[in-house]
Amino acid sequence: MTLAGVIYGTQVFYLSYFIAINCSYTLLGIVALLTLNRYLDRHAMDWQPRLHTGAEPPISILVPACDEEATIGGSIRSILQLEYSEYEVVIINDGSKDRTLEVLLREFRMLPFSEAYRRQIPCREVRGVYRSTVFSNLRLIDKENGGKADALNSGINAARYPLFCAVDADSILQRDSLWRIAEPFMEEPAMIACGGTVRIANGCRVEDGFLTGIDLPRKPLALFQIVEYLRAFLFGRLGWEPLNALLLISGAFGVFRRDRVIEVGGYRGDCMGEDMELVVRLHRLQRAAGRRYRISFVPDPICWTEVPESLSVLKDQRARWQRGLSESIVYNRGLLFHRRGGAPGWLAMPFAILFEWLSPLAEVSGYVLMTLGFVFGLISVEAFALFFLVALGFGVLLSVTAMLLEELSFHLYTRPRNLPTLLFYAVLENFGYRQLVAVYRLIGLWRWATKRKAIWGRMIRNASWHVRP
Amino acid sequence: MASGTLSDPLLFAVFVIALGVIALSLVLLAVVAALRLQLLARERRLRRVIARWQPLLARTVAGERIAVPRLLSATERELVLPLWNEVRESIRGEAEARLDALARRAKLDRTARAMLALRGPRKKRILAINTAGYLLAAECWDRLLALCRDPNPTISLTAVRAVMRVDPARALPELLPLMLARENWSLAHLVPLLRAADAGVLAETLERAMSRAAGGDLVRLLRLAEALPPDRTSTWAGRILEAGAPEPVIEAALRLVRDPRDAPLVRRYLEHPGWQVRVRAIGALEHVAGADDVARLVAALGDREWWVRMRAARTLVRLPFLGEEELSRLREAVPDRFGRDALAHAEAEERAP
Repeated sequence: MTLAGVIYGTQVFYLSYFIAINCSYTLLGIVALLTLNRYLDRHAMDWQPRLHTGAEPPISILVPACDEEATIGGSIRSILQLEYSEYEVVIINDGSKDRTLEVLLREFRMLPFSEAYRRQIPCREVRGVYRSTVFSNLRLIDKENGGKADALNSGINAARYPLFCAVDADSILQRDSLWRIAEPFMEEPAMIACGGTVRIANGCRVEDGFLTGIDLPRKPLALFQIVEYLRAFLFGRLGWEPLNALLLISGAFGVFRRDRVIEVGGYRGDCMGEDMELVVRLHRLQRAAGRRYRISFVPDPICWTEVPESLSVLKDQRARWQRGLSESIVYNRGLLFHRRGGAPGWLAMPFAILFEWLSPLAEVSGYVLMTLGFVFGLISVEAFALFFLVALGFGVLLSVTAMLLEELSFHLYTRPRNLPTLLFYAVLENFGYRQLVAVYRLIGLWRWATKRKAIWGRMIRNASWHVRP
Repeated sequence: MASGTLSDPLLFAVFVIALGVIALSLVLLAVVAALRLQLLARERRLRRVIARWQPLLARTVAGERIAVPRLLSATERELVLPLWNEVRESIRGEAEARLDALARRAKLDRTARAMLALRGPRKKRILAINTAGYLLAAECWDRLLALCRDPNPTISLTAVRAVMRVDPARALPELLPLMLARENWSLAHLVPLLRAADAGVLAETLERAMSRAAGGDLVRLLRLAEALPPDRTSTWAGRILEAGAPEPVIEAALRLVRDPRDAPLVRRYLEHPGWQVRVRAIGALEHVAGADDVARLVAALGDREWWVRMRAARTLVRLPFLGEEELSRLREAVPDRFGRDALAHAEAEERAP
């Protein structure tokens, strides 16, 4: 094969890949649009006052906490104010080295409790169980450090209700979050897991653990992530939902049927993306067993979280996510093209491998090779310009489609300057930010491939939006 | 392509795609902006309507007879409807009639009738059904009953709610077969709706249906019976427990047990091979147990299933005739370590504030 042939082939490969990935996302966007429309139509009665019928499934909220002494009290107080007929809160102190345990014992007046602890999923040693003397639905499991997955497993063992909700200690919830996420379980008996949309709290006003004002952050990095989250949640998740092929429920807020999670062995402690791994494993094992099940997603903004505002934290976060994705795919490779794999095995998994797992490799190498080819005169100006035009054009189209979905549905950012700002950033993120994220994800892929020791990056939280009452 | 100009067919195709994508992005940007403008205009209109109508509705509820403002358009009437429904939903007593009269004077009934006849967006249909339930029940009864058969659960349940609110006795015989057949009508929605019905009528209708039902239908009927006061359902539960039935039916029947005379029947199921049945039986004992059941419950503390042990422990600590000292003595005497843990757990739970 001649050099010209190789160069031509390379160009065709990258162009085809970029067009294929973007067309797939566009298709997903169309499905998401239809799903969202159906969802909004179904919830047309939400203006009516909600009645506690007494038949809602009770929920155990699991809050793993490790070295959270500064914020844990406020987080738990807000969780205790959620509107729902019956729920309990189980905090799991995962061997904190700071004063998390003391803070909890003092703030919620907790006393040792004789718990008949039932170890259905293996987890590290439980040192003690406490119960609040102020809130009868609040318990604390104090255990040896074992990581988030191990803490959640310990919480699942202690949970009393048929559904459990895994919540990050720093998540800000809406008062009706549990209502909204429990609804799919009331409507569909085969429902085993349901996730919610996570939105960005940077720039918002938070009082007493609840969101009281929505606004955009000032920092461009957080603004880029708002567009990115809209794309990920309203597009990605909602697009796969009608096919029952959702592969990820965010660890920040998700509800699961406890018995099914116990059946599959709980969260994997050796995985960086324990939230995704669990969902993919649930798909794999339910499908292999030929069981009827459903994993769903609620597009309402029910959980808010702070995102990184510095590049170094963003890098660690994205590298970690990519590593989690790699582990989830490899551990559950049996789902791929399994004869009973259905939409998750035949569509979502190949999509995740081609367009999410390998995409940083293709994207970064595509940009680098095309630029080098152009610099060394191997690629014409037209071909080079067109490559970027297609890549960036599709990027803009996807971001703007996410904005359209938001505008058609929840239109949360209502201040006059919010929409123009978001539209501006929806376009701008394609000129540098997305490429940067691709590099960070490539780093994650490299760390996974070279089996570098997994480390949990520490999220630096400014909580500048938080207003203490 | 390397040497390529736009004369290369592949490059030209890519060029066309790129242009298409950019054009589409621009169109979407314009659509987003237009949607926002539309939203702002709608919100302005809504604010105006709310500012005008909220005080009027409040004054009507308070008993004042007010002059109805002239509604300018059908759109404005449609904006008032949710507001009116919200207030109507939250009030009871004489104010209901005053609010209905106000709606009629404002011709909201006509708007609802027109909306009911159309197959418009679901939100409008729901609003129309709800309003018709208050204002046009007699006139639109057949239409509302037909809507109870709508395949969409939100629409059909709104219609069920509307007819049940107006005349439960008349609606029940029509609706009960649907309540059994429609799996997408959750019990969470149905039980509160049935509570609004007259207990006598409901009990009679359910009993008639139970005499012919079996299997899944019978389970659902028993679950629906939870809308009734316990004194009306105890006999049914007793009959089923006496005769025996498949596990799900027994479980549903045990949920209804409240009569101490049924205690011997409940005891039969304490050794049932299905652990869910054992849990329900122990749960039923909480309401009907006598002093001689303590030994049975202590034995259940050693059950192989954790849930049964826990339920037995909870039942024991909730028995009104067992004091703290007695419970402590019982706990010390339990031979099984897991059973002791369960009892200690339940006691700690009960003692907690």
